[in-house]
Amino acid sequence: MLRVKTFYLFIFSLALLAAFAPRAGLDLISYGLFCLLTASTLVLALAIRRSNQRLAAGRVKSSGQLMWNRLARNKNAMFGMVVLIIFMYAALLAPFISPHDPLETDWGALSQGMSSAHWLGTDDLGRDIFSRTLFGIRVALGIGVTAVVLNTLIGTVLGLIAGYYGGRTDSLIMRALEIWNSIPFILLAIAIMAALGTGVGKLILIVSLSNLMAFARIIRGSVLSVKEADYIAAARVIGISNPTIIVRHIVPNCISPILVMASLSIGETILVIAGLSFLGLGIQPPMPSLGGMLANGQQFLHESLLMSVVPGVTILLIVLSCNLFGDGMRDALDSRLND
Amino acid sequence: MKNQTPPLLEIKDLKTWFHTEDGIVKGCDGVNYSVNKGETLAVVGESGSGKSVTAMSILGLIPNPPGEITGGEIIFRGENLLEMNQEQMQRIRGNSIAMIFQEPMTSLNPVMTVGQQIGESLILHQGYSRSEAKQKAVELLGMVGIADSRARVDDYPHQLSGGMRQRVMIAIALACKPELLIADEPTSALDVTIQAQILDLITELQKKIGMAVILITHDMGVVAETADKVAVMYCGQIVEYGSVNDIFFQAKHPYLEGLTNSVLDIDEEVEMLEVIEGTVPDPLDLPEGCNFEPRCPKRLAICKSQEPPRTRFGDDHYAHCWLYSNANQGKE
Amino acid sequence: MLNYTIRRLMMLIPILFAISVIIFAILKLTPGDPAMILLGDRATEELLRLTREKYALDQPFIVQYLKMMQNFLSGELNSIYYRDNVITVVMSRMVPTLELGFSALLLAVVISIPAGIISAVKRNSFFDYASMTTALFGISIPVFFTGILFIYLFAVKLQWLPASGYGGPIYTVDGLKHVLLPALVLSFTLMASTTRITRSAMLDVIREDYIRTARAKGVKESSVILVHAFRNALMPITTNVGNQVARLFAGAVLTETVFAWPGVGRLAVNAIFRRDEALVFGAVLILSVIYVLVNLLVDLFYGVINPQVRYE
Repeated sequence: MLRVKTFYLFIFSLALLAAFAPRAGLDLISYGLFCLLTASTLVLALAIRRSNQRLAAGRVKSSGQLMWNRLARNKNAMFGMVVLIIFMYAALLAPFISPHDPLETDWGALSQGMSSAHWLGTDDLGRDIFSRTLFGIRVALGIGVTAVVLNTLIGTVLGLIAGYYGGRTDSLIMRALEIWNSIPFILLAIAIMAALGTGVGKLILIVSLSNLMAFARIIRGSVLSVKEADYIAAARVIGISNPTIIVRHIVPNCISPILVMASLSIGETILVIAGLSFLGLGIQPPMPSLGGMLANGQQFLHESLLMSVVPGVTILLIVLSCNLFGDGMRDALDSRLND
Repeated sequence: MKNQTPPLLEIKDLKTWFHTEDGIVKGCDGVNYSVNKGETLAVVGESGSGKSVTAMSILGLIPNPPGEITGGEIIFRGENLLEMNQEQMQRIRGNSIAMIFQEPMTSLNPVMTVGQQIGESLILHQGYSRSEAKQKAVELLGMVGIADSRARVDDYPHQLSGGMRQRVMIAIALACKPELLIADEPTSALDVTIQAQILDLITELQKKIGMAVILITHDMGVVAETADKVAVMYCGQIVEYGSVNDIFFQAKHPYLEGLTNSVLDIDEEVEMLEVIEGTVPDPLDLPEGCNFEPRCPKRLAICKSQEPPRTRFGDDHYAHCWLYSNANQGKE
Repeated sequence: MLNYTIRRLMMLIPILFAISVIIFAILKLTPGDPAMILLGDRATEELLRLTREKYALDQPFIVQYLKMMQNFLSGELNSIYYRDNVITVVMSRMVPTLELGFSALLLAVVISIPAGIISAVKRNSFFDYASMTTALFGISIPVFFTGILFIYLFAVKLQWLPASGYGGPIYTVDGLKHVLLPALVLSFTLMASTTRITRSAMLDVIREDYIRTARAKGVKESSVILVHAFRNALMPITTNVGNQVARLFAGAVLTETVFAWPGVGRLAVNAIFRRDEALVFGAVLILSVIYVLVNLLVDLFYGVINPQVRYE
């Protein structure tokens, strides 16, 4: 069943790929990424087919599959996942499906409501809200995912080192993280931006350095529990070097908590990015950002409610889906731990 | 000679069922037993036999949903407990009937001192003031064998060992001098050396207060030492019931024979441990007929299709087994 | 308890020291001539020379740090925009921020804890589903969007409350009218997450053996829930609230911006745009100290409710 859905997704993506080929020149990077996405849906469909075949041949389900089954039964989590996939497609395809240029002003159509020309109305400068929202989603997801990936990497590496090498290194790293954690994120953001200026790069930097303590602690815990296992001692005796041991034996055990934390993180991160953009510290105009749109919308609350509601509801939907999916993952994982 | 005064507690045909996603689990299904004043009744059986469910039903502690008492009567001092409302039951719990549980490590509230937990019953049921209750708590701690009770009364549970916590549980249970104490495997989670101490304590206090005890256990050795009467349960039903002598020296039901045989005699040399073959059936899929039939070394044809009726062997000794049923005479 | 308090207080000192060093180090990264940064557009040759001496700008990092702290604490560090010393400027706006913060905290706790308890006790009831769904939205919605929506609803459409601004101290009627909407908005996310955690903590605790013991003692069900169960659930709830304080600070900065609330958060953000690095330093440092103190209070409260931590 899942294989069929994934396969249809692949066909659909392929169709889109073909449909937008003529306009690919608009944004080659996006088009390239979309090709990658389409390819990965095919790979996914094939992988599912292979695992289904294995199951039919009587092999026992792997723990990953059990976890997935549990996750799939959670309707909320599936809803969240579907919405996220839709947003992801919208984000990647924004340059091709956007009806108007998000930066294009139309002085003849200021602060208008929904119409056939402008599906979600226009803002105070006559820019199409739907297009701007589409690009806003693109920016939010792009920066959000990048920041979370970096954040996860840094936190995981720190946790691995602290847990594996133990002793002084461990104390040092955990103490440093504790102190880093004593400064609330917003204050760090304010300080860094005061010193180094605003903008996307600083945004990613700040977010990837936030909340490292939680990640590192969990990874360190995982590492500690695995470190004393016999097969690790055996690996050392054979002479496998420390970094190899870490990567090949310890990391696979930590993947599950990492995944849960990362998926819950994305929602949080998007809220943070939107917030900083709202304050004028994050994504700078004229680059469209959902937070920025809301800041603008507040000024024109009397004229046009759409200017605020559309970006606001969009952020809400993205974060809600991340939370639903993340919650679902955590529940699916918990059951596995309890088994 | 049958005792003329009515029993303190009598359970008649009690059925407590649990509604689960996969079907109905019959925790206890037609249980009958009784306890007289000052007596000790041991309820024996494996895990899942329904001994705890029956006990919890007496005090109305079965969570509903998914549990439900679907039939029977529980007569305590002449009144049917199953017809009482919550308020009336709350006045009986901890007051006339008290219960102690198996896991002393987790049965005490971590954020209240032991003195407060003991005193709570006294304040609630007997109108003590806070200071009076604390005083009495000190006394009770001494009575259950905790040294330095004046200092201990302000301790939190995490500061006490498992054995001490179980003593505190006993103090809580006995604070209001109940007429009946239900002890659900009180020593299973404790060290063997502590087990003996706790059991002795219970027996001693029983004599002192003159209360009846329902002792739930899976340990036949404990039964031999402390019980006056014994009820043997399997899959939610009583398979044999009688005095402790009847049970040990005149065992009728094959399951009971299996239980007593599996207790090791320290003087005997054995090559192989005696076990009862097979395992306890899935509660959602109980056999038709006698529940024990699949594992029974003495099974008959009729055992598979019909549940055995009760056969009496004397004043207060009966068993449910086709081997002894008159209707079975002559059939093999 | 006393030991626990003293231990926690002792840990405070190195942390405060480390924080001030970090904030100083970050602001030291600002490109440009530090003396110019501190003086702004009033810079003259003479003043530049004096400033370089005052802040030991050609000395090693440690000396600069000490000098900066000395100047800051003695009221010598000035904001280039407000032309007054940084501590005075920050503290003059501290009261509105504290009023906002405490009101939000109070609102959140007063509403979320009963809601969470009722949801747990009446599990799977309509109230449960309604409150959990609302809570899910509450943790997903950005605080500034809630702010804008509430302003539209309560100030523009219904005209019950003012749309922005400070109305005076919280014990005045006007002050109360003005703080209500911002406090409600700020509390929303905390309310949502606390409701969720209260429900799940209560559900966990109700399953515990000692609850069974309490019932077996004949304790009334209301006492079982509110005294026996809740007292234990309070521990994870407190831990969670403690974790959310950082988000509350961020939310306060955003809420102050939405409602034009004259607080320290808005002050700090504006200071960035005005390139008032000294003010940013002071505001961030003072707010961090407050954060550490709030965490300390939460820790101490946790020590009160959890006897196991006290008796270590």
